[in-house]
Amino acid sequence: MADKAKRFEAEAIAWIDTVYRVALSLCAQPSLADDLVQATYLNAWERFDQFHEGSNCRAWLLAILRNLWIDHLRQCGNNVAWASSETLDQLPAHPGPQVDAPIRRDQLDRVAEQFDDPDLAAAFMGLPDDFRLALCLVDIEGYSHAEAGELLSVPAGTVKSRTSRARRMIQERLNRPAQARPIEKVDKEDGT
Amino acid sequence: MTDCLDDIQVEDAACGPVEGAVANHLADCSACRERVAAAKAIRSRLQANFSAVAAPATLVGRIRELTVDSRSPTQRVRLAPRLLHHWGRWAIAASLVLGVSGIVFMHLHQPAEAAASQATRELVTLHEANLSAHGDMAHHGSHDQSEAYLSDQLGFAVSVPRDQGELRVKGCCVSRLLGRPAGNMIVDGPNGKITLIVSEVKADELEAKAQIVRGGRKFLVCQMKEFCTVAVQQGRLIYCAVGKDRPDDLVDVLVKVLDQNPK
Repeated sequence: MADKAKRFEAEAIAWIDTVYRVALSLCAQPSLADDLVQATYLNAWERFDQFHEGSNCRAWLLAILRNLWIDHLRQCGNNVAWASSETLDQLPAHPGPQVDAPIRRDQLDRVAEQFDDPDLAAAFMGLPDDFRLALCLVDIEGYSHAEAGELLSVPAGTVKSRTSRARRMIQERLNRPAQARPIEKVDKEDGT
Repeated sequence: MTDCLDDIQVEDAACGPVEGAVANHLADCSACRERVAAAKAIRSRLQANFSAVAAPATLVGRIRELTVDSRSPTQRVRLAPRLLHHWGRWAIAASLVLGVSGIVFMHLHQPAEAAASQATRELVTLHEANLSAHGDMAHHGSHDQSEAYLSDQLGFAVSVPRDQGELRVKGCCVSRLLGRPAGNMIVDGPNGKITLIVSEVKADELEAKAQIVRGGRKFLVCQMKEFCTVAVQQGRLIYCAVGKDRPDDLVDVLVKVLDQNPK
């Protein structure tokens, strides 16, 4: 037990910031990200005996996180983001996040406020789920396209396509006047 | 290479070194250089903005509590070999009881329990766990061994009651109170089983609303369900007694413990 705890602390909890960032990128909602990270670590703790020492614990944790997120999407009746990852690349860009959508301006603001560059954060959080995650893994967490592809179960070329399009969408959104950004449109629809 | 770069080539150039035909093209084409530079700029801004985002401390603490710090309150590490079997059964039974009682508490939110402080709830839970498994416990037999064991495990000296009159220690182990290590002893008292908990928890963390003063000592009293908890500060440690006894009787027990082992 003590050995397991020590190993878990050193190998798994050491990656908690990474897991949190990826969770936040997945769901764009801090409270949901908290729940996801907690569920990921409880799941990892239960299965830690099966984890081979020296293996890539970060990738293992992120795979658990991703599976939990897929389960969450299924429970929410949402099968767009992950179930059709391949076809998503063929679709026109659509605003995310897709769970508990539409995201409200105040929710997004709360997330964006955590960052030094809230405009960039808002643009990033407004990306489609798959694009946001690919960009998070490659640009923020430093994964290669191939490594990210392995984690997401898609070819490296698909990851490149997503990160490329995601950057372009961020650029376009940052260049757009504030009132033309999609998040404002959600506000109007909500009547807020 | 005369054609402008496609999106994938721009992506490669933004994320890694460029060489060969792509490098040659970039040297000649300002439009493609700008596209790569724009992609690199977004990448840099994302890294600068997000890389420092850390998991909230409360979340990290909660996860540690649920994983690496989730030791059973009656976890036993070392005792005489003949006792290990009993302690193991006790620990498992106590874990089950604690798990069930914790879930029941969270879901039912009984008003009486909600009014009790977290420390009181934990003390009562520890006592209930001790009671539920008591039939499996073997008599420890050695006061010195228990005291040495607890002091060694906890990192501070603990006064363990010596067997006298109706006061007999049935066993001890390492537990947690408010997330901090605590010595946990089950004792046969004059009116039934009593749990003694020793920890570095501060007296005000008990949020006691009543007190008894005896011999210059202030004893903090809390009630929860049919149980009473009495606590007294002794140096940097707090000694708590939990049982169905009256507060005065628990005060008597604590006075005996502290007076016979003044530390």
